[in-house]
Amino acid sequence: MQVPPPPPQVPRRMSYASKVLMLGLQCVVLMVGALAIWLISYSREDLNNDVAEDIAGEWGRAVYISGPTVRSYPDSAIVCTPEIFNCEATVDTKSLHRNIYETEVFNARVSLSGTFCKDSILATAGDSILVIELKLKTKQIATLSPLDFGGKTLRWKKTPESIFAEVPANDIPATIHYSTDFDIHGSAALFIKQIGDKSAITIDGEAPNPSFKGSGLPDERSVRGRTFSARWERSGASSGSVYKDETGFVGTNFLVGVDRYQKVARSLKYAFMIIVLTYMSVLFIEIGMKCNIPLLNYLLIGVALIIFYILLLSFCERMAFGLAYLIASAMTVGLISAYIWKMLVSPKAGIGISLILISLYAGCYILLTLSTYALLLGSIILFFALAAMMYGSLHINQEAASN
Amino acid sequence: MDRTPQFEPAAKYSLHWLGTRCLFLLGIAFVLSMIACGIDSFASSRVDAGLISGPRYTLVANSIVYCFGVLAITSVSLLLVEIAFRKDINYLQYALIAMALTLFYLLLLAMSEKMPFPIAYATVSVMTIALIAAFIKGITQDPKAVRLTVGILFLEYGMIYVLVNIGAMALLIGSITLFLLIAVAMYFTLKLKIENDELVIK
Repeated sequence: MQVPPPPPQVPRRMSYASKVLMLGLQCVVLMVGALAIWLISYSREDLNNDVAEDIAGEWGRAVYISGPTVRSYPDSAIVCTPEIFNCEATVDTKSLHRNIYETEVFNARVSLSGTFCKDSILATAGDSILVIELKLKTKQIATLSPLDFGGKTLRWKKTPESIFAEVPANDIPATIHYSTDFDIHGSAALFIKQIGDKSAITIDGEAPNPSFKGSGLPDERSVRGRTFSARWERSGASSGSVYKDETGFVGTNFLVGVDRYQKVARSLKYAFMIIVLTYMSVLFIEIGMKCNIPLLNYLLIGVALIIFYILLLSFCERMAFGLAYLIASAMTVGLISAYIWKMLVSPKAGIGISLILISLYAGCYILLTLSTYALLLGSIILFFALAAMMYGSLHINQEAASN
Repeated sequence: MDRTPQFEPAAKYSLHWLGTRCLFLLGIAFVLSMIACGIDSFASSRVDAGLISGPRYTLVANSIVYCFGVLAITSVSLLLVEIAFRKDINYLQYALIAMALTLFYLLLLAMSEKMPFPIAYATVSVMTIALIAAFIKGITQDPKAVRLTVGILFLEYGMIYVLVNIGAMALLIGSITLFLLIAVAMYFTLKLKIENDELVIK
């Protein structure tokens, strides 16, 4: 009986099954890191919202304009609203910065004009002193031009919640034309009350994400990029008693939320996919080149992939999201492919992994920007990635069989 | 995992050894980070009790954020000392050093209640670094290993002091530092060669 020769001494190495298991474990540990980055992003967003709230508090919050109305004395319940009410508001948005935090506020140029009917004024407001009142937060008014009321120029007087002007009731014409204009600072929303028998309100200008709200949708609207305009018309509504209630406002909301943190949070959703696909590609390179890459090196690659997200978060606070994504991904791809290159002493492997990573990050970016097609495109990309993986594994088996 | 029969004396500093060390150190770092979170909530209760002022607490809390990083970097540099100088640091000693690094935050809280933050930070970091340096000296008896550890610890605490004080820039600087650190770690693993199953730094 022949004694079998002792097995040739091979360097001790892990079986691929246990290696894949350990890599799976690493993925889970790395996802804890991703969770930590998500928490950091969340707390930064909170901080940003606090600062934005603070800035808005100083600049001016949502603007509500209602008026003008005529009454016989301030705080009288009986009011007279105009016959014709025209309002034109032009919104000019600008962003205010404090440190790295920014928020969008606007400056609105509002001009009001129209007519009052003398008979209805005399019927509701009496015939002594008329008080013409416009309700808005006076703290937010930047410039205010005097009221032109039936040919007379009246100076506005201010209270915190309104501006008003007084005129004797006896010498006014039958149809009183009025007009005034002012600049008002605000943020988040601009609403104007539809008063009068015939009202026409136009709001236009430049703003991010205007959404038209209020008691009625606009009759005409157009949104082209950041430029928008909307027009509300109403006629035949009763005046007087309607004034008291809080309805009847129309206008726009401006979404001032900062979307960069949401983009970082959304890109973190794809972190697991990127890590798994990168690990699989490195594993395939390892099998294909018949070399041994220790688990520690895998861990470092995984950590670099996680650090991408914190780089992205910190860069996108200072520059546009696309640029931040480009720089962070270029840094990560450069580092990992240089590492693979030097580790395996093979430029081919380095270029291969850089191509894979570039396509992963590019795919992830497309998923982030195309929100409507994200699911469709994402699943198609995953399908092709799986097909590529299958092709790769097929190739490996053939090579192993031929050796 | 099957073990092939060994014809030579078993390699001590093998990849397997490195893997188990890393897992142990990761576990220790996680547990002690939890304890650091506990110190943070304890500190915020001291603010409510009026024992420490709000701004100082913010500085202490900001420095606790980096606890996991300090633990991880120090552990990795100790591993490096083990491999490079062929000195043995056992698990208990790793755990004790990690505890000293966590105790730093409790000391920092206690000190900054009594004195301004920069003085408290300097005192506590010098105390911690001196303790760890003496311990490393006792373990390895190698002045080069002590100097390396002290240098790394000084860099860490200096960096954290800067990060705590620059406020809004901290995230940017911190993330770029992390990126550079991972690049340095990658560089060292490239230097790490396996000869007869033994890890050697070349």
